[in-house]
Formats: sequence, structure tokens, C-alpha cells
Amino acid sequence: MLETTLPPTFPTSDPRPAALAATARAVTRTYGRGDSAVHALRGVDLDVPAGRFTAVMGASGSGKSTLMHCLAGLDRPTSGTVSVAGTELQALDDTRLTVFRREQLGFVFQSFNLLPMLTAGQNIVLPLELAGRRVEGERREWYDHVVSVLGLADRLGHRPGELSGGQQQRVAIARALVSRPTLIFADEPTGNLDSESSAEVLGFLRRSVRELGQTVVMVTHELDAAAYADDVVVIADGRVRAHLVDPAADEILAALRVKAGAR
Amino acid sequence: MPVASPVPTDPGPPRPRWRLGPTGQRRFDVLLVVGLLLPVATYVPLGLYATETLLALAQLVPLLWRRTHPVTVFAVMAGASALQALLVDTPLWNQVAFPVATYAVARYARPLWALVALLVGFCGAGVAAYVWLRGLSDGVSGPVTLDGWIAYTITVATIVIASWALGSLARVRSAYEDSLVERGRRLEAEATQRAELAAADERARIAREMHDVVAHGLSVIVVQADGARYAAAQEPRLATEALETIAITGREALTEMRRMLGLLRGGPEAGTPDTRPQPRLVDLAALVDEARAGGMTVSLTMPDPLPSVPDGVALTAYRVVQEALTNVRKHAGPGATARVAVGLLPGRPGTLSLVVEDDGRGAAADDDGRGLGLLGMRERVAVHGGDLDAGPRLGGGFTVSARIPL
Amino acid sequence: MRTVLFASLRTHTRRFVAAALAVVIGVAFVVATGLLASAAKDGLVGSVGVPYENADVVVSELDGEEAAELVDRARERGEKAAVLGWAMQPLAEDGRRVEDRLDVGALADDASLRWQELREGRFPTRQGEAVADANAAKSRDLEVGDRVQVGTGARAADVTVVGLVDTPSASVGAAIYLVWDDLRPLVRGMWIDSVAYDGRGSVGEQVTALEGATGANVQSTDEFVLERQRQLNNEVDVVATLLLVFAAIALFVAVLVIANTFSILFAQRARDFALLRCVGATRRQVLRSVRVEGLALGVAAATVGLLAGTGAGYGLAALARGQFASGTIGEATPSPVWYLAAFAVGVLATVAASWLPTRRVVAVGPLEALRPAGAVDVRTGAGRVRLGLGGVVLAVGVALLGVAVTAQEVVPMLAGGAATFTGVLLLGPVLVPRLVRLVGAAGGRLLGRAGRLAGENAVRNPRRTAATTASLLVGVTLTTAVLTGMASSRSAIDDEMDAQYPVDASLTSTGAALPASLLDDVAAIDGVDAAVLLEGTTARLSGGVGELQVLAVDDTAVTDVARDAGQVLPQRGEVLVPWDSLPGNVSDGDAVQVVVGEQVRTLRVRAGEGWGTAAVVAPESLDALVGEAATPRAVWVRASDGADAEDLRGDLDALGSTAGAELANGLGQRSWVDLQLDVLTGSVVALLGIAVVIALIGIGNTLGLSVLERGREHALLRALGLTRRQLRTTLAAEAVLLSVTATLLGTALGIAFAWVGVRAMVAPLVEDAGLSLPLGQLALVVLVAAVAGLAACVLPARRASRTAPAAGLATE
Repeated sequence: MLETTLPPTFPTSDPRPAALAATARAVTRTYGRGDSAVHALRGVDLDVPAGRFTAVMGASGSGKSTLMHCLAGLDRPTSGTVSVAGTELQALDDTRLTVFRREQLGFVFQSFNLLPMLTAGQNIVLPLELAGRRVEGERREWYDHVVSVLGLADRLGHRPGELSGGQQQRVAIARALVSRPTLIFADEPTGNLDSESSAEVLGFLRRSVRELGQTVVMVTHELDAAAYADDVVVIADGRVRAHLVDPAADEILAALRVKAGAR
Repeated sequence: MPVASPVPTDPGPPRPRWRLGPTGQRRFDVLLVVGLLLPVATYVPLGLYATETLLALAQLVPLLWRRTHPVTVFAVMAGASALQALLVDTPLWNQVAFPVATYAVARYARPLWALVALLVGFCGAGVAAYVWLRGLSDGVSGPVTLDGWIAYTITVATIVIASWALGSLARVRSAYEDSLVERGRRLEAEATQRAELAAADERARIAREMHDVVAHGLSVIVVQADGARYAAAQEPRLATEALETIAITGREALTEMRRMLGLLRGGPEAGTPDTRPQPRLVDLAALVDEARAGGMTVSLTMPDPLPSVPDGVALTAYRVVQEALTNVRKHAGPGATARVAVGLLPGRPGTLSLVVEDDGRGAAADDDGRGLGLLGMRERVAVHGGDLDAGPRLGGGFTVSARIPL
Repeated sequence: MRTVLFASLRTHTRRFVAAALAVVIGVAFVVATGLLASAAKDGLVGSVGVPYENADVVVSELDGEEAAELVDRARERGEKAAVLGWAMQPLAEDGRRVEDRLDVGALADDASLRWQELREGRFPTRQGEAVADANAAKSRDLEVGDRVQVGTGARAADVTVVGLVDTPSASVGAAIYLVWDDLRPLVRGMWIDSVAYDGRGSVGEQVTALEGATGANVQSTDEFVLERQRQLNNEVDVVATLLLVFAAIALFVAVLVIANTFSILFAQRARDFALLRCVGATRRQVLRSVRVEGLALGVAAATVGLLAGTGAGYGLAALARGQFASGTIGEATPSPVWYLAAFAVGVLATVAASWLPTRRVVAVGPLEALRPAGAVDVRTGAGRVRLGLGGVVLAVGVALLGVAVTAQEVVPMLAGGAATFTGVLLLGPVLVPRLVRLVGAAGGRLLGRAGRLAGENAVRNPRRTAATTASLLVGVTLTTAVLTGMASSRSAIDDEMDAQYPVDASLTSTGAALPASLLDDVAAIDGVDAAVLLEGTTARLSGGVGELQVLAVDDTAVTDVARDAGQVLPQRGEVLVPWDSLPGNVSDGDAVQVVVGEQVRTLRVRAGEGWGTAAVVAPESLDALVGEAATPRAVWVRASDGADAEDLRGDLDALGSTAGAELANGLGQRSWVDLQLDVLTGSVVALLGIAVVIALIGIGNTLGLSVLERGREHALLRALGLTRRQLRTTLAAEAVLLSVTATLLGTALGIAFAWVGVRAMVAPLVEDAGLSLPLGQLALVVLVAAVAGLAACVLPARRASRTAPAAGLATE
């Protein structure tokens, strides 16, 4: 990018006191036992505001992925409570948790997002199909809209092996959007992409928050990716170090560095 | 950041992993023939001697060349099989060469040859059935019955048909895949070409027209100036007339140039050269106001006082900002804010810097060929020796930045 | 989940092909067996009644003498009787021996009881004429008008072939049919199947009358035919059951292959399953989907198997019809029961085989999709339940085998074998890695560093190692067991044969002294190892035996030549008389008088056979009978190993006919038995070969897939500095190590099973049957297995070594 001497900041959107999409209270997660125990999370309290793009940042091993897993119902915390869309996840058994995931959550992973033997179109409607719902009427309109927004109309019949990395992630985003979930979790979604595709994917995530009213929680260790988010949560050593609202780039940097210095 | 270009950067469908390269094919063929030849080594211990072994070799070894000369290989093999029918009356292991060669013909040769091979295969099946049945029934149940022969022929023919069908299928599919790859490549090449042509066209047009306009006018001016210099000493009145002509010609040339650059609205009024001044840096404020009037939220930052830049540069800067704001209107999506910043970078004589950025959809916008417009701007800026970069902005949105040396 | 299911079936079909093939083969086997059995029944059973069409009563379970009596009775009373049976006699043409053993049958006197169908020529009208079976005639170049001599010596019959016939009944057919009066002298050596009787009066009256006339079994034709048919049905069923045993073995192997394949394939698709669980598929949905995959595979494979089996069955029946005598194999009829059963078995086998692997699929949690591949815990345990079960099954199996050995029963042997083997397989994860380590340590010096690495690789994941070697283990165990069993049976039978044919060949004078040069001529023949000239004389024996050559045989004569000295060495006061020469009233142990001119000696009879038609006495007895006047009367020959029986027969016969001696060719008859054994061994190996083929498919499959599965490990090794060649060597060494271990274990198991088999099945028939190891064949098995294991990993090893380390390591 060309250097300019001009300030890069924009007038920001103001943080409305929105409803909470998810909350975590005193969540801990420990693996193993005794001497070889690993404390991935050591008491995390977090409120995820609805309708905003939240980035969870931290170094490797900081527990950010574990936190996301616990929030998403993919993993059970050792102690503490997690509630998403008003439902407490501990109270659900495996089947009901699965159904909850299917209906309320969307996922975009770093890789292996798609089932390789299904076409892009089939991948997108997979959650609906698992729920036994047909894609017609209003759902069909929404599906068409999502597909056109993400520019996938001519790729629907292709298999993931025939799509580039960026296109695959777009399909994953479409899948996450199509069931209109309460919360979309993105785990290092641009980890395997070049800068152009990264910008695309992050742009789409941001767009889904701005224009489609989604709530997105993205786990990342890249500063550039976090720049796209509205809020940044900094995690280190299993605890929340900072929860920044509409931060500037240097604010985020400062928060990350503080954690390093405090060790 | 790279310019967003209309050329698709996808690498295309990956080459199917199970398609062998040339070395792989060679090895496969060798392995196949060696594998098929292995049982032949048991002929001698089993009591089959020279004739059978030679026939086996004659039928199996040519398979090494089945890819390159399928028809010849098939002919040799069919000949050896016919010979075998005459000399030996039992089926041998090397019969396996027949379906393999049939498959090769169907796969690698033209469909007509495949059909011929199929027919030969049918005849061969009938002959083989007769010969083998006769050999088997020798000494037990009398002459070969029609029923038995038909049944046996059909059984053998089924194998031939199967290999022919498989080969034809493989050929068709391979041809189809090749055509797809070819088409993809062609489309890519076309798109690249189109973009290049567009750029080249624009460049050539500008150059050409500039040359036409300026060269003609300048030559007139030179002549007049010479004349004026010459006349200044003798008849000052002629010099004044010449100077007037120079002014008129110069203005006309300017007008032509402006017209060429598309700046005039509604074409030239008859005879009257347009004297309205070209948009300059100071007109950017009006441009931004126009955009605001259209519903866009945009802020403008310009140094005070405005730097003085050559008219051409000012014009180009205006056009760049105009194009960028148009793009913002078309692509940034609802609720996007834009920011225009003009500045002067230090140096002697310095560089004009322009930045137009928005916080809209950025790379996630619907793509409909906005690249060509920016390509034109790039050419304009390049005419003045500057650079233009356009691409998604960190944190979301799009940014267009240009630097023009003064 | 339907879309996922269909897409998955479409995509992964290729990987399932090997597994499906196993089921197809097994099911086809079952169906083909059913069709062949039905064809055999149709043929055999249908043709049972043909010879008795015009008879009212059938008498069975009688010997030659009794049959002759019945014929006489019928002639006296003006009734009709036909003897059905045959004698094995040599056939000579123009004085030259054409065949050592030919089945000679009787042609009914009366046309109404003649069941042969005339094809050429005419039926005999008097003695000295005969008809030959058309196929038999063609293979021996006999034509109408040929003069042949059936039998040897005094009882031979000179006949002219006047016609060629077709034999529509396989069970009582013969190659040549003599008129009863011609055959009569040979009746003592005849095997009688039955006598068809057409008398006067009602059937009941005839039955009563005959019951009083003879001690044999008398039945009405209908009753007899029905009983026969039932017997044949049972026999065919027995054979079919035997074939089904092989089919069961093939299906057992198929189940192993399928289970392995599914295991590995599902492990590869673990990420997909985890993703599905993430996105919202419940455990039950995923489980049901993969189970339906297994079911679909089973149904598809079973259907293809049904079709393939039908084709094979009809084809084989048609082929067999061409090979065997007409009437043996009839038309194959498909039975719904067989088809249903085969289909059900195929589907069940697949579903059962895929059951356990599918359970493991849903043990994968959704988080597996997110964790990078390297975090998998490599040290997987064997599972206590599995070990416990394995131990129990093994113990039960061994117990059953013990029962089989002591009780000499086949069923416990099969059950015990299957159980033991299953037990070994279940204990595999414990057993195999330890063995691999042992073998690796033993061969460590040979393989070097790569070998050590290979050895450690192999034991790191016990379950995977055990699964990879399972198929090979099955194949090797089966083959070793069969080969060893056959070889042991063979050697046991060889011993029996030695007793039955103590002398390979003998030339016995027909009445005069033999020229002394005969011994040298005989010894000069190619294929003769040793020959001895025996002296004797012509003597007359009392009791109706008649005139016989009497030979003196002593120790020295016998040791060089006889294979079983005890059979041909008479004690003092004994005379060895061939069975064929004994009339009915003289039997073993009786005393007979041997008269030569004025000299008479009373000697005790010991019956035997295998040295020709002479009587054998101790040298003292011969001295007493003729003293110095004994002349050369016989030459006994021992053939060298690998001598061709036909050639030997020809040469000896030529010499014999010029010298006036007749040939008894024990070697020819023995080699006929050898041939039967070879055919049997070949058939069994071929039938098992099907199971072995399935096992080999399995090896290729699992070895290949397991190498692919460990892509990350290999990439790590390469990144750490292992060159491509070293990686390939390591993988090759690992494959060889696993193959050799599996082979050794399989060989040990196979030999153990073979021993049990010999003790259970062969020992009842042949005393003192022991274990004899065909070392050459077993070495070949080890070699083939090692090569197969090596070959199976060549391609995957190349692919593994070609991947750039970074690509393989990438967390993707």
C-alpha cells in the first residue's frame, strides 16, 4: 500500500448498548490430570454483543481457540457457564446440543470447511438438510440472496476441489449465513489465504455484520484481520486481558504488548 | 496493494491426480506387459512348449506400444490369435491380450477403428468358441452343438464388448476433459487480452490525438512565430497579426485537446473555442459537494493554500477523484463513508498525493468490471509519470491512492 | 443426510471396490455351488433308473459268484437277468498291451434289459463279440472291427468290437461290454453293483421268490431306484456342503477384508464426520448414514455376486457336461432358497463386517475437525474387552481341536479351527507387535537403520499393525495348512501304496522258462532301477486254484526290488497266492497242496497281490519241489524315481511278449492313484485359492491405505533429514517385516491345523499317519508372501516419498 502522511482513521460507528449474543461466566477448561494438566482457560468472563463483529486475539496457546470451542458448544468447560442466545449450554445433552448448533450457530473454519464429496450448493444447504428442512419459499429467497451477495452463483455445481481457497471460504460463509444463525464463529478464517482472498473473506464477514445484522466472533492472531472487527478481545494465558471497543490499530498493539510485558 | 484487475486469477481446475504423465504411462505399460508375461513363464513347466510360448509372446509383447500404435498392435495381436486358432485348440492365458488390445484401440484410436476392432472381436469370438469347444469336447460328447457354440460365443463376445465400451468411454471422457481445460485456458487468455487491449487502446488514442492536435497547432505557431520575427523589424502590424494567429491557433489546439480528453460537454459550439477553465484542484470541493448531494457521506481534506500544479496534472487529479467517488457510490454499499485527501509531498519540485478511501464492502463488493475504469485512470496518471494503486483497505473498505510528480 | 449419503457413495465407490469384490466372489461361489449341485442331481439322479427300466426286481449287495448264480437261475427258468457292474482288466490289442486297467462290463443277454444306446455297428449276437463305449473307444483309438484281448492268462477273452454305444448311466457304465459268457470267467474279480431281474409273475411274487433264492438284498425296481436316488441326493448334498465350507472360508476372509477396509477408510474420513457433527448432524444421523453405506455396498455386491454366480454356475455346468460322461451333469436349475440365502449371507457379511468400524466413527467428536492432525494420540491400546474375548475364543478353539483329534471328527475340527484363528486375530494387537519386534531384532543386522526404524514404526500402533497383517495371516495359514495336510496325507497314502503294490512291475512266465538274457534286457531299459530274476516252476495247486507259476523269493532278491518286503516274503511253509487266483472256497490260512510232477507239498495260503499272477514260496519249498530243475520264471522290476509308467509298460510289454511273459504293472496303477491325489490337491488349493486371492486383495488394500494414512509421520521424517531413498527403504523394510512376521505366524498356525486335520481325518483311514512338511512348497509360500507384501507397498511408498515435507506437514 502506498504510504501517505494522512491519518488513516475513520469516524467510527457508535457502539449501541446492544443485546448480548453470548456470555461466558468463570469458564475454565483443563486437559489432563496432575502434573501434566494443561489449563487452557483459567476463568474467563466475556460478553459478546449482538450485531457486532468481535475478534478474539491472542498468541498461540493463549486459549482463544478453546474459548471459541466452549462458546460454540463444541467443548464442555470444566467449570463455569456458557449461554448462547439465552440458552445455557451445560443443560443440553449431546443430541440437543447438536440440534442447537445446527439451528443457532454458523461455523467458518480455517480449513476443511466443506465436505469434499458435495458440491458447493449442497454444502451451503447442509445444515438445513440435516434439519430436514426444504429450501423453498422464503428460505429459497434468502438462499438466492446470500449466493448472489457472495458471488457464488456460477460455482454452485463445483466441488470444493475445483474451487480456490478464497472461494471455499466464501462457500463456508454462505453456509454459515443460510440458516440465519444467532452467532457465527470464525476460527482463523484467513489463515490459509493470500492477502487478496483474505480481504475478500474478511470483507464478507464484515458485510454480513453491517448489512445482514449477523453477530460474528472471529478468532485470529493476525492484526490485519482484527482491524476489520468492531470489537477486539485480547486473551492471554487463559484469561481475558482486554475488551476493546472500536479500537485503533495501535490500541490493539498496545494491548497485545502489555500481555507480553506482564509475563 | 495490487490493483483489482478483471483478469481471473484462479489457477483453473487441478489436473486429475490419476492421470499419468508420460513417464508414468511408460512405466505402467511396461509393468502391465511384464505382469501379463509372468504366467507365460509357467507354460514350459506345464508342458506347453515352443508354439504356445511363441504365440504368447507374439500376442503380449506388442502391448508395449498400445498407446502409440493401437491399430497396428491390435492387428498383430489379432493375427497371432488367428494363428493360435489354427495351431492350438485350447484357450491359453495370453487370450487376455485380446481385451487389452481392444481397449487400447477404443481408447487411443479413432472411433472407426474401434468399431472395426469390435467386429473383428466378434468374429474372433465365434471362431475361438468353435475351436475351443471342439477341443474340449474332443472324445467326449461328439460335434459342437449350435446351442453350445452360441452360448460360448456370447460369453467370449461379452468380454470383447466390455473392453470396447470401457475404451470408448475413456476416450470420450478424456476428450471432454481436454476440451474443458482448453476452454478454460482460452477464456483466461481472452480476458487477459481484453484488458491489455483496453489499456493499449486508451494509451494509443491519447497519444495519437495528442500528437495530431498539438503537432499541427505547434507547427502553425512555429511558422507564425518565424514570420512574426521576420516581420517585426519591417512591418510591426504584420507581427501583431501573426501573434494574434498564434494565440488563436494555440487556443484552438487547447480546445481540441480538451475535446479529445473528453472534457467538453455537448461537443464544440460552432466556431467558438470553449474558454471555460478546466477543472482544477479547487473544483474538488464542488465535486465532493455533488457527491454529498447524491447521499454519500464524504469528507475532504486539502492543504491550504492549494499547491499549484500544472493544468494537466490538476485535470488528471480531478478525474481520478471523480472516478474513485463514482466507484464508491456504485460498490461500497449502504452506510459507507468516504474520505478524500489531497496533499503535497515534500521534495523539489514535490509530488501531488491523492487518497480516496471508503469503509464499505471493499473486497466483498459485487464485482462488475469496475477494474476497467481504474485501468484508464492508471494510464492517465502514468502519462504524467505518476503511480496509481487501488485495492481493499485494511480494516474494510476500498482505497485509491495516486502520486503524481510535479 | 440423503445428499451426503448419495454423494458419499458416488465418491467413495472406488475405494470400496476391493471390499465389494470380496463379497461378490463369496456370494458367486455359493450360488455357483447351488447351481452345480442341482445340475449334478439332475444328471445323476435322473439317470439312475435307466438300466432298470424293464426290470421288475433289483438285487443288490451281492458279489460276483452270487450274481453268476442268479443269471444261471434266470436262464434255467426262462427269465431275464442282467448283471450291472464291472471288472478292472488289462486290455491288449494284437498282443500289445494297450491299457493296464479298463473297466469291463456285461451286456445283458436279453435286448429288453439292454440299457446301452447303440450308436454304430450292432449288438453282439454270440460270444467273441463286444461293444465299446463310444467316448472310451475314441480316446483309445478303438473302432468297429478291432480285435482285442480283455484280461490276461487263462481267463482272457478274445473279442471283436462290433459296435459303439452311448452310456447314459454314469454309475454303472463301463468302457467295453462283453457278452455274459465271455465275462463269466472274470467274475470273481468283479465288482457288482446290482442285478436287474425280469421274471414271471407279479413283482411281489418275484421278490419273495428271489429272497428265498439268494441272501442278497432284493427290492422292487421302484423301491430300489428311489433308494438310490435318495442316496445320490445325499452324496451330492455332502459334496455341496463341502464346497460350502470353502465358500464359508472365502466369506470369512471377505469379512476380514471388508472390516479392515472400512476401518481405514472411515479413519481417513474422520474429519468429514467431525465437520458434519459440527454443522449439526446428530450422532444417530451420522451412524445411520454410514450404516446405510455399508448396507448399500452389501446389497450391490451381493446382487452382482448373484449374477456372477449364475453365469459361473451355468457356464461350469455346461463345461462339465462336455467333460464327463453323459448323464452325470444335467441341467442346472436355480433354486430360490439358494439365491435368497446367498444374497442374505452376502448382505449380512458386509453389514457385520462394517458394524464395528461404524461404531468407531461416531466416537469422533466435532472438535476433531478443528485440531491439527498431529495431535492424534498414537499409542492406542488394544482394548481390554477385545483381549478378553480373544483369550476366551482361543481357549474354546483349542479345546475343540483337542476334541477333534481324540474323537477324530471333522465338525469339531472345522469349528475349532475357525475359533482358534478368530482368537488369534482378536489377540493380534498384543501378539503381532511382539512378534514383529522379535523378527526385527533377529533380522536387525540385515536391515540396518532403516530396519530398526521400520520395526519401531510397526509396533507403535498395535491395532493398525495387527489389521494390516490379518489378511496375509489368513492367506498364509490357509495355504500352509492345506499344503502340509496334503503332503502328510500323501506320504501316509504312499506307505499304504507300498504295501498294496510291493513290486513296481513284474514279468511272469506264461508257462515256459524265460530266457536268461531277459534280465539284462530288462535292466537295460531306461527307467529301471533294479531287476531281479526269480526261479521257479509250473505247479498245480489243489482246491480249485489250478495251474500257477511258483516262484522262490528270498531276502536278497527282495530287498533290492520290493517296496514293502513283508508283503512278498513268504515264511516257511507258506505260499503267497494272488487274490485274483483264489477261488471262492479257498481263503487266507487254508492249506493247499502244491504239486509238481511227483512232488507234493502242503503249504499254508497267504493271500495278497501286487506281483503278478504267480504263487510265491520260500526257497526251501521250491527246492523240495523241483530241486535243481528250477528255471527262470519271472523278472521283478523296481522303477527309478520319476520313471514314466506308460513308457515302462510299453518297453516291458515288448520284451515280455517276445519272451513269453505277461506283465503286471503295479507302477501304472500306483501312478493312477498319484494322479487322483494330484488332482484332489490341485482342486483344494484352487478352491482355497479363491480365498487367498481375496486375502491378497486385502493386503494390497490395507498396506496401501495404511501408508497413505501416515502421511504426516513420513513428512516429519523427511523434514528431519530422511532422504527419499531412505524413506522408501524404511517403508519397504516395514512391509517385508510385517509380511515375514505374518508368514511365520501363519506357517506355524497352518502346520498346527494341518496336524490336527491329519489326525482327525486321515488317521482313521490310514494307520500311523504322521506329519510331513513339504519344505519346498512352504518356502515358496514365504517367498510369495514377502513379495506380495513388498509389491503392495511399492506404489504408496513412492507417493509418500514424493510428497514434499512441507506439504505433508502443513496443518492445512
